[in-house]
Amino acid sequence: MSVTIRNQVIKILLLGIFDVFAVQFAVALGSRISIILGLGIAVFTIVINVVFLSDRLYPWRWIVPALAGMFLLVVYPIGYSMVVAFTNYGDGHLLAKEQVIAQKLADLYQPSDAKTYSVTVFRNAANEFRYWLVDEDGNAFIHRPGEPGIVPVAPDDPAYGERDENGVPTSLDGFVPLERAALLQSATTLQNLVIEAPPNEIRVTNISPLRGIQAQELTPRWSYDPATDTLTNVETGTVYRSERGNFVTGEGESREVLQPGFPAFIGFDNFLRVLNDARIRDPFWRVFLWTVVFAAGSVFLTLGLGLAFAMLLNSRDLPLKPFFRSILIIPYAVPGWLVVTTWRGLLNPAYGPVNLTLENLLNTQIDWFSNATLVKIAILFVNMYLGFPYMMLISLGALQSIPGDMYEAATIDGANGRQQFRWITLPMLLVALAPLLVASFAFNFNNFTVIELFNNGGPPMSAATVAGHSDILLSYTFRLAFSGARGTDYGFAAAIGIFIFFIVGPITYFNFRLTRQFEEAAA
Amino acid sequence: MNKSSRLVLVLALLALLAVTSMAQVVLAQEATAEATEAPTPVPTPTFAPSVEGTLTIWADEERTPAIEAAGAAFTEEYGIPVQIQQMGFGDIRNNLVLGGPAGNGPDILIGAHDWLGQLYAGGLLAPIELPEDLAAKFNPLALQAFTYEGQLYGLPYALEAIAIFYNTDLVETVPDTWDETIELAQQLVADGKAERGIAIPVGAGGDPYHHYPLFTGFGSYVFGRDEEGSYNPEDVGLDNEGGIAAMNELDRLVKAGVLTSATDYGAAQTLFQDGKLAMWITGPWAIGTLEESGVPFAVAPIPTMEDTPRPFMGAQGFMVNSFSKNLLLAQAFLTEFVATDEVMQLIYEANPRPPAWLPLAEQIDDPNIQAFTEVTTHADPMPAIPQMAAVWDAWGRAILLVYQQDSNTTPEEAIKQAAEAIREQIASSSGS
Repeated sequence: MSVTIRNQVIKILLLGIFDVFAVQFAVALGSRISIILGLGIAVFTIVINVVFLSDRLYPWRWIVPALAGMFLLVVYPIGYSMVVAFTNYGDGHLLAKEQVIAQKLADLYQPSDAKTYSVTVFRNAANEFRYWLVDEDGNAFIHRPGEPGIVPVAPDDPAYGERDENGVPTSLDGFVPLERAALLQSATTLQNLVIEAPPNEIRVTNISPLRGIQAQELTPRWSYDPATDTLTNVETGTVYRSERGNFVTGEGESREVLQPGFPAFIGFDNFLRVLNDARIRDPFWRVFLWTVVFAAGSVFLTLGLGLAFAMLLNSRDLPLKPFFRSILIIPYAVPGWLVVTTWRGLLNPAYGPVNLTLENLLNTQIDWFSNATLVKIAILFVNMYLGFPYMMLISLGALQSIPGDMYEAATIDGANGRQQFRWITLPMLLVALAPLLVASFAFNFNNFTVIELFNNGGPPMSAATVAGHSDILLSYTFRLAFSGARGTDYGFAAAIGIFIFFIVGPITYFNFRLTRQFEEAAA
Repeated sequence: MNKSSRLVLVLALLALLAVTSMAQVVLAQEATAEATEAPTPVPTPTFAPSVEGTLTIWADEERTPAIEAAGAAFTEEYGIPVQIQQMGFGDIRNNLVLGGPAGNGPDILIGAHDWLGQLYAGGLLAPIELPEDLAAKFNPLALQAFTYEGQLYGLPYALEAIAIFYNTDLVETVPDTWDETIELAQQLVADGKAERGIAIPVGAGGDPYHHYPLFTGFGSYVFGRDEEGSYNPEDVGLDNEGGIAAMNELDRLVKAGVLTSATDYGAAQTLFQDGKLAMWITGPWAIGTLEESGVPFAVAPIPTMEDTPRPFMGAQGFMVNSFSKNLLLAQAFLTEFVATDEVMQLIYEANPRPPAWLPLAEQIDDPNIQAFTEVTTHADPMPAIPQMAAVWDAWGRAILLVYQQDSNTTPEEAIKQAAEAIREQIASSSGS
């Protein structure tokens, strides 16, 4: 009994700690990113609490956290991308519409007949303020916060006591002028100061310890009408309507677009752009073919080399085995980007050691980066270097799991080494390795790092298309989405992402089928 | 366990939940109250410094120490805390784009003028008011570079443009004309004095930035300019006669083995440091490393081709986040404090580049910086309009095709295709 109570208390404490974080997380994401996300997390938090408190729902304890993780990390991002694909979210359309309107409404200008004042700020011990304003003609005014507007002061009004050479009193209602050093400390107060002066308002526009404080009569440049969803420039009277994520005016030649824009739904435009643009469509199949060749080739080469080293390390006659094994793992242990950039330097056509050797031996230089075929060979080679240690490690394990008596039996039956490899080692290995090979294929299918670091997908196919000869599907779409005329274009990128999904989806399905078949064969 | 004890436990949990959520609500309210409420009255007769605002500045690694020193002096003088956050130069822009609208941006950031187009279109920058007497102390080209749609969005501190670094052991002076320079480069290689005569950096992206003087030297341009000097994205001049001539000249030099894609930036730098490269076209960022390497060098403008080549001019400066809560303070910090001899000197010493602050530029006696300052006076400000993103990419591919001696495309076809692609992309994106 006491044990269960203790367990219950621990459980509730842990659940309480979890709830603190979960509530915080839900509030933060809900208020800053998306209310749906916040609500989703809140719902899962409640469900998790219920599940952990109820003994009847015991089995669900393992499933619900997984479902929550899936919602947060998989379902929500996919849904979000699908929504974004129908918008023009990206550079030039970053702020929310309310933010754009708020920014425009905060934009003030000085009408031609409005006044500019120089301001002296007075403060008392209670940190209250008084403002003495002098306009361009030397007329003085006083503003007391809490009282509306400004009150004119006669130049020789004795009520304000002693004045300095500019006619500014040395003290005001017992308040003293703000010192130079304190001026900037009051910046927030001055920034928030709004004095009514219909039809305008007086705002502090510049504070300078050297030049003093400047205030201007300003009026909003823009007015927004929610009924018609239009912004009007008060100064010029031009009306801007909301259209595809921008406020615009005029048609055709005289069409004028107001920056900044906001994300807007633009229907299937992003998808149509992918389908209609010949420069996007034409290189597609070449890129796709190379993607498959690259992924399959990488698996084949890494497995070939890895297995060869594994058999070598597995043989009884090899001396210094631990040493060789450590050496051969190095490419796997060094960060990939480092390896790729190093190989890029080693293969430099004029100064790389590889080509210097080739030049000395064969008197020829090979330009590994400019020729469409050579760059592919070089990339496959570098990826083989990067990937073989992994294949070697898993092959070593698999080799040791093959029973030795099978080889004994084969030797007795008169099979030579090659036959043993072909009919015992390889089939036994493949059963164990097949799921990993499929995973490796899927990984290389999206191996952006190697492609991008080695030659940025280059050499270019032509000046007109962004595709390079060594681009795979993923690097190609990256280039399409982020090097367009608008800079970053998240909406377009999301649309391409959805197309990619329809290509990669069937391949993944096929991969899973294959894995299952191998697993059934092994069982 | 019986029913009542379970009920007690559930109730306990609910109470726990309620307490924690209430605590959080209270905490959150306190935090916002602190941020928005006016400061509590100070009961003492003296004016204790009541902190109403703090300045946050995002700066890159090279500028951080200088700005930290300046910030400390500012804090001492005015009692305003200045907080400096260091991040990579490019990250400053990306983080502002992501964090600015959500209210996580700084008050002031360090940046390059060619970010203006993107940041302006994103509504992320607040204009800066510069009094006329102060404006007169800045290099007008730098101010022009930071002016967008008629308003100033940055307070510049440095400018940069590219020129020729030459090894003074190998080259006495750089000749006046491009053709003579190429002959000299070939002569040096033929005599075995240098492994390479001249190098322009070529990366995997083609590096159009470093090739731009070649295009302007033959009379080409990226975007035409209107009467006010603003770039017009509808007038792309890369494939005009001058552009074709520049591509053919590049083709000639690649065929003659004078230029090669093997000299990417890193390779060229190593060769120059080892005294194997006689002339290298690049910018003032290379000065530091070259001085450390001890190789004797000097800087000269790129020699005349058909016209005087004009490199791109870049300006670096301080910008103000439009979502800053201290706009007046940020403005005052920049115009009253940064735009002074002392702070400009600090920034210069931390990372010497041609200064945008004229009183400082006049004092500098470093011949290399002087040479680069001279170069910036006949340079084109790098277009800051967002359409530049489309240009870099296609243009770089055209240059790469020449370096690769692609058999399917002549240099003329390459630049025409590139310009066509740029025009189409600009046209297709102008509406959205």
